[in-house]
Amino acid sequence: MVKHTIISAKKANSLYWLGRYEERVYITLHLLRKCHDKMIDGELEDYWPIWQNLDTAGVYQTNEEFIFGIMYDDINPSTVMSAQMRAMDNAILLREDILSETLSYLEMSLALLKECRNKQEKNVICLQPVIDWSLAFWGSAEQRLKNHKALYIMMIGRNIENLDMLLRFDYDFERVALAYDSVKHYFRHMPSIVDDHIEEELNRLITRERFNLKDVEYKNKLLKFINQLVRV
Amino acid sequence: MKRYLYNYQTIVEFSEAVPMHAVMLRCQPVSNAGQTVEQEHLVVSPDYWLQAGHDAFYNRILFGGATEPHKTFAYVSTGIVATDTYVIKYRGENLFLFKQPTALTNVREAVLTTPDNVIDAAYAICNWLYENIVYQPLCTTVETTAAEVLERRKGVCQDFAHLMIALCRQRDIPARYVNGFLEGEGETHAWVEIFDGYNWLGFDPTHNRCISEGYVKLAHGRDVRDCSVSRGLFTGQATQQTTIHVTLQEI
Amino acid sequence: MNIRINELIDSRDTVNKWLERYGVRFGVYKHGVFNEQLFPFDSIPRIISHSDWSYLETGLKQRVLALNKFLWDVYHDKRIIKDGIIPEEFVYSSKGYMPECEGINPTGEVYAHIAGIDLVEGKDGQWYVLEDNLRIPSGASYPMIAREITRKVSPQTFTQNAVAENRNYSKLLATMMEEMNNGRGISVILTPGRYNSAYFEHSYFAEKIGATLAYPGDLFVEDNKVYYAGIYKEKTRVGCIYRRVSDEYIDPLIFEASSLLGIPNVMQAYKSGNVALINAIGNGVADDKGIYYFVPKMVEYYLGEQPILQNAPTYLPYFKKDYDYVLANIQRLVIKDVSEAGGYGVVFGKDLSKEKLDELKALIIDQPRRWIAQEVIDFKDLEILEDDKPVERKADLRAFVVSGKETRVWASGLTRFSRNPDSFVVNSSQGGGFKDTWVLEE
Repeated sequence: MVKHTIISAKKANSLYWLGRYEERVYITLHLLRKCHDKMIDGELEDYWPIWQNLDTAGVYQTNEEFIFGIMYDDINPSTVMSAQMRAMDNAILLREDILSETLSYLEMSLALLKECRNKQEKNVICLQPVIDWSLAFWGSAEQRLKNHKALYIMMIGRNIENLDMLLRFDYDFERVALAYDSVKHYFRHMPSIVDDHIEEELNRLITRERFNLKDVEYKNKLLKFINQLVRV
Repeated sequence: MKRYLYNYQTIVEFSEAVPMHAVMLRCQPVSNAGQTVEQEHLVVSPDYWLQAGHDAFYNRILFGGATEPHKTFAYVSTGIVATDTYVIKYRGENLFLFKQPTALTNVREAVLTTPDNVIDAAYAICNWLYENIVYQPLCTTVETTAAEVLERRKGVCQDFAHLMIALCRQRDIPARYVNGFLEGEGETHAWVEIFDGYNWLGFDPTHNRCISEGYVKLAHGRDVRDCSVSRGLFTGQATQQTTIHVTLQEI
Repeated sequence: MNIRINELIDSRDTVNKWLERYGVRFGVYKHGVFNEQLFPFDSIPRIISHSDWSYLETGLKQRVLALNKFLWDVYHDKRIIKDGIIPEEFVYSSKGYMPECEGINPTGEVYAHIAGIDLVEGKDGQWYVLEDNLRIPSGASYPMIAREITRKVSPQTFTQNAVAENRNYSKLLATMMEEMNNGRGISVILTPGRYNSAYFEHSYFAEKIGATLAYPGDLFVEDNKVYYAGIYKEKTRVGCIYRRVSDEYIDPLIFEASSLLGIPNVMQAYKSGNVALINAIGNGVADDKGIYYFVPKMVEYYLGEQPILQNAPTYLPYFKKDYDYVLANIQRLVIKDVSEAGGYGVVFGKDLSKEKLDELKALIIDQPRRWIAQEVIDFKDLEILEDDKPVERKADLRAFVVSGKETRVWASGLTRFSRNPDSFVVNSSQGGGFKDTWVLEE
């Protein structure tokens, strides 16, 4: 077959969002485990910041409800289940690019999530394979994706999501600056994907001097620009 | 022999820029035994590619499109046609297709009795239509079927043509829909051709006559769906407004 | 021949787990809601002996060759009509006949590049063709991936039995597509999208063939050539489209105007020989229920050979002799309405009351051309596992014949079975499942 590396608008969009949602699965589980650890013997204020950010609508009453909801709720968009389903919705459109082998890690994760929900598994540890498969997915993608442009778009999505989550959960400047650098690293391979104007704005905003996530206006502005930075 | 200047002009305006627009046009007269195209010119928006071809019924078509964002599409098809007696030679067309009712030309009940002779029958049908169907603009749509016209007893040239075709096909007379220009009309006109065993003859049921001269043909087909002057498709959210000017004048 | 499949049967659950892992699903619409289901796999394979296969292979090639010649003839010289072998109304009043395809010369003169021929094996060991599918037959991906998995899960089974490889179907497709592409550009599979019932197959083939999976809107025509559009205005020429979009939606400027699945002006590019469409447009005229009757006659007419494969005994009330037979024997025949749209469907005479039979007879008398009638074939049941117990169920076989420069028969096929013990319907959307089809090499 004659090969080409052209990516359609539709596929670029799917690649980007697959990257974002799969990263969200990983980070959400990471935060949930952190939160869960503090719930074991800690005070409400120890885990409230994470709770608040994962449950923006405030639908969960008890710790148990919260943990269960963030694992399996498919209506709340901030849950592991929702992110995994959205990742799958995008990945399913990309089988011939990312290959069945790579796609199968997402299939298994989603199947496990559904199985655990049906069995009412309450311990976060039951989702450890979802973490493992997420990393296997990325490893497999990196190794096997023949179209490098497709991989870059996915990695851009992954890193944008990482940056977005770091900001939402009020990480410090070093972490945010590092994540922003990673995004820019991939932009070098895909210059046409970036909105230059927004990149300039972000370059001005993400500096040690101006960095202050307690300033709600500043934080919202950053989040808005981060989410408009990529043109897909 | 008469000579006519025809001019068909269309401007399509989009409410916002469309990224892609594809078109297929049947806007150029054909040369046949009854008419000769002596001169023709075509003016098209410069950003459109356009090529010439033929459709399923060997009508002339133009097809093309534009793939850069744009807000208008305009074209003018103009030229000079000399017309002769309206008798069109049979060129081996598949008569079965013109005997078989389509969704738009299907009438089951017996409406009138006609003589056995094909031409006499066509005259009788034409006359029946003229006496029983009222010409009334805007009371039907492009989708109106012959059966509906028969029931409501009113319509425009397209409806007259469809009903005549349906009544001919009931009698196993091959009949086809024709779209073209008629002198003095501000839009395209529709009429009918029937096959008498040797040639295709023109009948205009709207005006109750067998056509002798003065009709310039663009396309024929099983019904109006085969003959549309223009079909198009664009992407995006825009709405379109189309302005059409048609003139046919004897020179 | 000692066939050992016990290990394979024992591993059924593992196989189904793997099918889930690979997302082997098909979509079903129920009450307007789209759902994806796993396609239940039964691990007992259908086994076709080497000699049976040789017979089937030769017969299938012959049949598809004749069907392709018929399609060419219909859209060109129409000799078979002029010579009185097939009455013209069977051809021109068929819903699948497309006047828009008159005179088009598809690349390589092939129309049915991928033919899915549905067969059943009678209790007498005789194979019968039930239906030809020449438009967009689906299902080959399932036995392909089932084989991929069963070989992993139960390797011994395949060491002990000489089973012909079936994962080479992708190679058959790729070769044919390259031949039809003829170096014009890239080859793509055009899917209507993920909510199509066979979407898994579309994406799986794209992966296995190495073709690009194109969605509506990804392809466009410029200067009468087809291109695949990139996000940043790049484009690349497309030379071959394996389209899984049906004829009436393929070009909104020629067919269904409201279609969002098609490519405007693709028919012009196709007509000009600038792109190959797999399968060709207009094939529906050859897999029409009424035309089916004439397929054995096509074999004799075009190839001058005796047909190797048999049709189920079929009668056309259009012919006087058949008309009399059908009216006299209606209570034991299967009656099929050829007109489809809003039609009667398929009915078994034995299931109808006296009144209903008389009603049907009146319809046949009124419009004989609209009907065909067939003898009910007593077909051989296959074993399937129901709660780990073997039970017998009706099953058919869809064989796939791929025609490029040559005609090749895939040494496998989709075996579908019915879950319902009384049902003859093996449709996957009605709760049935599938089996792998083994062709033995010796």
